[in-house]
Amino acid sequence: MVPTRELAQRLAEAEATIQALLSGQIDAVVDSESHTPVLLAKAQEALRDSEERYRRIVETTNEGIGVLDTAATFTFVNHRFAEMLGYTPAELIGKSLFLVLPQPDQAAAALRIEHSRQGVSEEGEVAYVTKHGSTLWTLLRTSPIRGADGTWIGTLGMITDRTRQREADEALRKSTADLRDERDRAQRYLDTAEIILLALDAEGRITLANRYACNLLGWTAQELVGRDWIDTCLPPRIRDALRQARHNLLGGDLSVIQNPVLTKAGEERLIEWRNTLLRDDDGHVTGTFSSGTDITERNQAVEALRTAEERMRFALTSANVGIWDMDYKVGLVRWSEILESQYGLLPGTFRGTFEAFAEVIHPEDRESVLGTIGRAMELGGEFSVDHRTIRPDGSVRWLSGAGRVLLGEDGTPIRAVGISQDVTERRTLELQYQQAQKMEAVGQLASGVAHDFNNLLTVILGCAEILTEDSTVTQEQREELGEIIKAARRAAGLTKQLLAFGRQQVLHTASLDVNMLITDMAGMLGRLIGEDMRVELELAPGLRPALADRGQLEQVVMNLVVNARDAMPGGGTVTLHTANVELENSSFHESGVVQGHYVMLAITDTGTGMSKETQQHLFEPFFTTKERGKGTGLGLSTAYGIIKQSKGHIWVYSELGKGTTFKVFLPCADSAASVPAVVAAAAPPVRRASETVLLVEDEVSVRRLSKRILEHAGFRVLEAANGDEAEQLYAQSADAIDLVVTDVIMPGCGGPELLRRLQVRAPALRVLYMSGYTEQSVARNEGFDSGLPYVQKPFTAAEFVRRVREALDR
Amino acid sequence: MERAVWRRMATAKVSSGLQLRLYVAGNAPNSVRAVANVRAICDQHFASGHELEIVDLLLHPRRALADGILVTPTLLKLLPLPVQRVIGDLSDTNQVLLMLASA
Repeated sequence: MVPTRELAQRLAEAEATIQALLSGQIDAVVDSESHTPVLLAKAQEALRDSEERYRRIVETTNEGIGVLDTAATFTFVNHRFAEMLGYTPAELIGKSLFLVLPQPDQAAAALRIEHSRQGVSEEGEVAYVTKHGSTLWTLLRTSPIRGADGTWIGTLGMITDRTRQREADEALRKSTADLRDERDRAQRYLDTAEIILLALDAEGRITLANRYACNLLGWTAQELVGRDWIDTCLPPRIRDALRQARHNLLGGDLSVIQNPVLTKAGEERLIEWRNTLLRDDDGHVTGTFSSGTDITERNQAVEALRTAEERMRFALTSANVGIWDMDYKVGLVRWSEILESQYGLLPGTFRGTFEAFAEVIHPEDRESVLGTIGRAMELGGEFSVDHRTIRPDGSVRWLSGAGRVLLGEDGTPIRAVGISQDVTERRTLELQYQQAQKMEAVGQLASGVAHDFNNLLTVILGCAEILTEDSTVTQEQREELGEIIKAARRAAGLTKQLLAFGRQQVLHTASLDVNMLITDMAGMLGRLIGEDMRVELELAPGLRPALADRGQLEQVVMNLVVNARDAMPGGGTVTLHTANVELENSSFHESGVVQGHYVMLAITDTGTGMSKETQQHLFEPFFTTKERGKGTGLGLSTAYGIIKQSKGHIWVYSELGKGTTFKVFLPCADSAASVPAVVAAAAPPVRRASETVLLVEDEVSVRRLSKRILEHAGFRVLEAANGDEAEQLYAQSADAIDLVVTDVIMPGCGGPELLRRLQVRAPALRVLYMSGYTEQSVARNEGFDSGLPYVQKPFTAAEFVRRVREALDR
Repeated sequence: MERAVWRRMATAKVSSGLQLRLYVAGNAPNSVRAVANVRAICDQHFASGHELEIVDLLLHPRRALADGILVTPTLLKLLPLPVQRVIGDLSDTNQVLLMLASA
């Protein structure tokens, strides 16, 4: 049984099929015999007449024209249409429209045909597929075709090739997109760049500021754009200057500039700017574009480096240290300017080779220096050399250098660096110091010899003098004795000079007639300066007495005269001139001048004179212009020290070629209490003595001579060979003894010790010391009171007696 | 009539399981229209879930025989069952909807 429902359905379907056939809604039927579809195409024939009618027109147009029947089959195409699609007209006619449509567009095409059926014309862009598979873009116009009875019989289509225009459009779109990409990229670049990018218009208003600029300045781009750059972002103090710089920039000055900018928070950053000008198509300047680098930190680092370098250079310069640097690979040596100056070369004139260095070493030192450096080059490490150089001006300088050689892995030297110092002055000082030490040693030796020698001279002189007073001596013998005395006195003068080496003196100032002192010295000075020079004295009458130590002042005069002599190698005149002067506070070239009366002693030579530089160093210890061996460098400094210690002044006036004048100012002895000692000594009392003297002397010959002199003068003499003996003698006859005359230095108990012991019993006991040493050295070594009466050996009989008398009369 | 159709459609479980097959004859006018019409109907009423297969009789005559197709255009409703068919250019939307809604 067939289900009723199935039957009813099949009937309904059959009816529907017939209805469809009748209404023309069927396209094909299936031939049940052959199982093949048969298309129904009755409607196509109606189209033929109109086709013929429009053929000529449509073939002459440049548009492609195609006609479709109601089933969307081409019934006509013109040549242009077929050509555009790559076919011949014959190939297309009778084919479906869908042959030339890409699959995705077919539904749209069907819709257009439907619209045509409904009587609607359309226009739009449509793509076709050509025979070769490429895409043909067209602008399509469709319109319905109706038969004579008004029924729809097909569709007319007209196409225009838009491929080229479309490509142009595409290119335009693409280039627009590219432009946009480029702009985006540029913006990204501007924003990611780690530098300030800033554009200003011609009036100086900000037109662009990248993100970095905004971050640095603390403003947003919106806040910045449109504002005046200089007024907004620059510190007020530089605005005027930067306005001028901007004016120059707009005028074409593209130089790199640095200036601080002011952030919103008020901080300043130093920026280095590079600028370009923005121009319109006509070349007119429309603004500026600038990139700025924040160099605040770099600048601080540069500043710190510069400061460090400067400090280093200052240290090296002030220490006068020269630097050298040798590159063995290229064989070049670099010298600092100081090093060049040490060799007497002008800055930049050192030739920069090792050979050039070898050349400037003193020939006598060259071998050892090159040997030292050569060994360092083999072994690496540090070396030091001391050598001389002869400067272009002929002067010889001592240089002390130290260096370090760096070796490569193969053991060959790569580089060497080092320093050099001019040690000429140091070496000179060292030599002078050695000289001074030698002098000191000679002085000590001389003092020791002089002590014994003086004892001998004392005996010789004393005996000779006693003999001259003997009535039995003949005139002829008397003259011979006179020669002995003269020779002995000259010998005594020599020992005195030897003793002058012992320099650490205690000043013993007294009222002093400077004129007399110079007169006394004149003979000696004349001998001192030699035959081709003259000494002239211009001594002021009525010269005030000066307050000074006679011995020391003699030393000063001698030093100054010797100095004058040495300044006149070709001979000349030394003038010693005295005068009373009054100094005021402002009348001198130095501070600390006490106003008052002074005695001036000027010593003038007609010699070579001195440069200002020499004058500056004149009184410095060890400064000398004399050759080694000719001077100690101490003469003028000693003079200076003595004069200053005497509360006086010494001043030098000199010009090269015009001679030199030293002026010594000594304070006047303004008190009557200081009786001129020299004057007193000049008038010895002559009368017969009757006092008793205790004579203490360990040297037998001196003791015997002294006893004879004293007894000859009328004294009663008790002898003792040392302190202990003297003490015993004194104990036995203390009341009888008026004066103790004692040697200072004796074995066992010396003079000062003896005095202390005796003064325990007799505090008022008077004493006279004798010594071969200078009074000062004795005072220093023996705790001796230099204020007590003193006689220096060797002495003459008359002097000895006078000293004894003075001691008794105190 | 349409209200009744819609009422039946509302109760039918076709919205997610509609499977259609349209037989056409190349680009013959009725076939083209049928395609356009069935698509419009599907898009309008069954947008969320349907399968539509279009079979060209000229290209696949054997499939037409297998489905017992006599003429084109013919629309088959394969799912949901029962299978039903509509003949013609499917311009009568109500007739199509009635067939689709019948269970």
